[in-house]
Amino acid sequence: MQQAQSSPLIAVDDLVVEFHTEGGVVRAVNGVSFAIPRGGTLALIGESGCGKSVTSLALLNLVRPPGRITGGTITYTDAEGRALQTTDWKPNSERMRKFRGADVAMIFQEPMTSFDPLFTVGEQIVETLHAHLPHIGRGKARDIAIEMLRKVRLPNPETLVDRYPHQLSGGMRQRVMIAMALCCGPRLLIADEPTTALDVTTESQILDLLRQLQGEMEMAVLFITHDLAVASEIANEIAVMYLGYVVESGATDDVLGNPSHPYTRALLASIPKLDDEPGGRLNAVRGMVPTPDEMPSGCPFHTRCDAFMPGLCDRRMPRLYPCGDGHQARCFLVDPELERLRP
Amino acid sequence: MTDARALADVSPIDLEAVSSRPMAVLSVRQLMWRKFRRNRLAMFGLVVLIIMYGLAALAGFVAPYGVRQTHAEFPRTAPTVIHFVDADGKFHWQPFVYGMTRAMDPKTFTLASKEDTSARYPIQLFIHGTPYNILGVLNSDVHLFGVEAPGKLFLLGTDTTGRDLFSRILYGSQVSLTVGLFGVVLALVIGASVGIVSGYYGGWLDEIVQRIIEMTLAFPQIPLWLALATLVPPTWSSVQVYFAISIVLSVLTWGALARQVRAMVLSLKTSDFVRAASYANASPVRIMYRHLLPSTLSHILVIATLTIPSMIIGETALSFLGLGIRAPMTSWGVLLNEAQSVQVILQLPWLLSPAAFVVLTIISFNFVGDGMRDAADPFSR
Amino acid sequence: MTPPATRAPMAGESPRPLLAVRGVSKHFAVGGGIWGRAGSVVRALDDVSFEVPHGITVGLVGESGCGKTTMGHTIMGGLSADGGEIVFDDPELGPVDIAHADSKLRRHVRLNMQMVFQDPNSSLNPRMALVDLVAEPLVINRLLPRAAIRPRVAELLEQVGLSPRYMDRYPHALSGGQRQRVVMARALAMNPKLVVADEPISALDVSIQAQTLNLMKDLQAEHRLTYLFIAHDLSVVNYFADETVVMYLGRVVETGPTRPMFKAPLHPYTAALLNSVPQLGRGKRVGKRAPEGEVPSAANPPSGCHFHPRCPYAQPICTTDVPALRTIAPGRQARCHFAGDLPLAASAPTPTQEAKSP
Repeated sequence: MQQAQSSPLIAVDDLVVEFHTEGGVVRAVNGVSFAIPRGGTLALIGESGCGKSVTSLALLNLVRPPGRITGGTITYTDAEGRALQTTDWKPNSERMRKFRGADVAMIFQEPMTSFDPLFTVGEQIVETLHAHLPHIGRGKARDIAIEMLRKVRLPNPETLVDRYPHQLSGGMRQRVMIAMALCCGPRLLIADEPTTALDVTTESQILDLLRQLQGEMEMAVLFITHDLAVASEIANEIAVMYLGYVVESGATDDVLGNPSHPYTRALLASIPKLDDEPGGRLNAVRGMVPTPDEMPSGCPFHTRCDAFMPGLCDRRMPRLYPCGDGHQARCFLVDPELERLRP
Repeated sequence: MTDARALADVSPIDLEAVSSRPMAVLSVRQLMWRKFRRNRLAMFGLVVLIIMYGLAALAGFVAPYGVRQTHAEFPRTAPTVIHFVDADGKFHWQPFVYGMTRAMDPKTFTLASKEDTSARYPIQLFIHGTPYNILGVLNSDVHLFGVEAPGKLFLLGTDTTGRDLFSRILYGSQVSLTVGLFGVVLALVIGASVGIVSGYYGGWLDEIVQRIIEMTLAFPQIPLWLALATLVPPTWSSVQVYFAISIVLSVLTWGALARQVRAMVLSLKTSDFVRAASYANASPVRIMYRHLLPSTLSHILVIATLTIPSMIIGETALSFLGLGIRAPMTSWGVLLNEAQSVQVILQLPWLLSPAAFVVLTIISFNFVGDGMRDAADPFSR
Repeated sequence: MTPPATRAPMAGESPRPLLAVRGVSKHFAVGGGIWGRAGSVVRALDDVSFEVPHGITVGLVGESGCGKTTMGHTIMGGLSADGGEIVFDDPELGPVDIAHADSKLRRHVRLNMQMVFQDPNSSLNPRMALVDLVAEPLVINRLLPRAAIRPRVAELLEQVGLSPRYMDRYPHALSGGQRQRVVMARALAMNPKLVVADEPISALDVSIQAQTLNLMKDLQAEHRLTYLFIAHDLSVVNYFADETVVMYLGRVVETGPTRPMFKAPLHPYTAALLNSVPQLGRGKRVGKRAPEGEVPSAANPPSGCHFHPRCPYAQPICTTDVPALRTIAPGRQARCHFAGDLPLAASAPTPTQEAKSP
């Protein structure tokens, strides 16, 4: 992570989340550490099963049984500079609930299913306001709601505030969701695949909007996605996750320009790019993502890795080794002791 | 690129590629059974039902006496008490009953039975008794348990004409437990077919069928059953009456089933796998039979299982009112017929015991039906 | 379209296109009272024309509501066209208009056309074993005797990279990528000439998408397949499709060979689409890249050119006259009054809204 002058807004240290299923205990998140810089954007990248969504739920202490946070700490530095461990707070405590919504807000992938179809958009924003500012008057709440709709660049907010979710398009619903998330002025916005279900022109608009709002409100953003291109356009820093581990992290330009982990390299090589010359084969990543009960021994990626070193990669788990300023990768290839370890 | 086998990206096309977890190997039906097995109430219900149907099939063997056998000396007799310790305080491993004498009770001036401790009859297994046959095939006179004559073993007492209630309940279960099944199977076949065809074709056919179903559902159930039951000619044999009652019961229930099946089909017919089949030139019949029916079958069975209790109650109600099963067949409802007056109930409360069997059966069917409904989608948590 | 600039017909191949869509329209009635009063009409397809030459891949791109999926189903016969013709060059019968074919003809033509759906989870019947799923087209059309079916299924599974050992398993045992391979094995069962692939990789993990695309390319080479590749991801279309057709709100707005089109589009919508695609290596997003406004409702489209409310180059004529799909350059067509005159090359800046004339 870049050496920040001030401490990061959220520092996650060695987070472990386990799920107790009939098949046994599954570790969805396996000792993950990262830091979200104040006012900056961190992108959490990974595919299905990598644990990125569970990590975001853990940040809000929303992991429900059969899942449980079983290790690690999450440290939040509030406006006065105090460092608080959110993992110490009980999930339903007053302190935690204030944290959620007022300090940290979240937007999701499917704007349609995140809304209650029976209430107007305005009523749902007001409901969020009331949860955190219980003494606010009706009229004032409605004014704030209209103001938030205007802030997310929705046309005619005065009439839109009385519309129902099904009357709006996908892009507009996503903007309303952003409005709801921001109405209490959070310092961190967690966006879990917010544009995956949208058309590319709408996605572009939402990304522009997020960037502008972030500047206006001095907000940090944790952007969860599987799309490396989106992450490259919106994030200062990137953490790549695979099967519950962070396998590479650092500044965006470092990670994407000089990828040091074979998974990152393989992903980058396999994605078709708009300015590629057509024809030829894509450099596909070999094999398939293992299911949670087929976790490979040693390094989680070794079953698909081109640089697999038998005897080492399938026996031991690599740590995160530095490979640049603030750039690290979880791979023996970057281990300074590599020659000594090589079997 | 001429060799398609240069699929170097797929490391290796072999065992590691496809999971061998149990969940992956089993078919959907097997997964459903596993999920059902984990539901304790459902398994309890299933065991109870298996026992009840087993007893019904082996009624002749298990019942100490025949269905029409009267014990003229012992009408209105309370259940026989089973003892382990005799009048002298001695413990016997083999349970026994005392002989009974009837005498006029000087206080109430009614005939009452009294135990005669001088005569001891141990309960024996595999004792010879009244001849019977099982399912029309096996003839025998060996009963599971009983006492030697002149001892009497009335586990649940006798009715007003001196017939052993326990034996009659067992014989009656043969009718009560099956007339509902037959009716449900009929309703199921009609309802599922109508539902699938109506849902698949849609349009005016669907509209007409839905209106018909709505009309059948609008009828009040019990009065219609009563009306239809009175139409059964008095000259019909009891077997014919049995089937007639089944049909009566199913007349109203197929509609609800058809509607639910149609709803499922409406959403299934636009799913991709049905489209894929039609793009492969599948005929409508094939789509309905091979794709729509299997996908709805588990839910159909759930609905059917949950309909059986109302069938049983329907038959019980009809027979209770004298409009259902006729002699010489007997059912729980017929047995309850005798328990119609308050006086009878006060004096001979054991005549209500068939109701306990009805309740137990219905509860078990409900547990099983709920368990099936949860198991019908084995991939949900 | 004139023969593609990228490839000449191979020896033995007909110069006729495999599929020619001409002026196809399709509308849906929405709403309306119970007495059949007309509600609004959604013109899902409006005078759509394009050609698919033999042996190549044509990409059909657009955003939600543009009609590309409707076009796919209309070609397959799941929906019937209300106007125009769809001419398929059948190997036995020659060019056949399948839009107006009777069911017997359609059943015959379907032996040569297959569809691959987007979601492998819903396009495989979860209660059928893999062998039954893949063999179904063969069984329905009685193309093989019973004894030959299992060997044929084994062969097909191997061609898509799955071990035949798993023939008797069920779809839930496989991962998403593996299921999509089964779907492709099923599509190949009848040796089709045309495969309509409706977003075949959108539902798959990123690391699996490349594998699946490679597989599709291999199969195309091995079996001389022609793909109509329906997608919304322009990077994938750039890689996979030789030619591209861009649709907006039911109309074709631009057609042509993919790479030249993406380098220098002729229609402002194509340029807007290209500009919106997030790209690696473009650096952090600064300034706006998205076109203004939302995609209008298909039930109430704008008059004249559908794109004019969001077009930075719109003129008064755009609100009144529907532009025709004109050939601007060899092999390239565009539906814009000013196509060819606009500075739409990828490096040109997008004008701001103030530049639009009132």
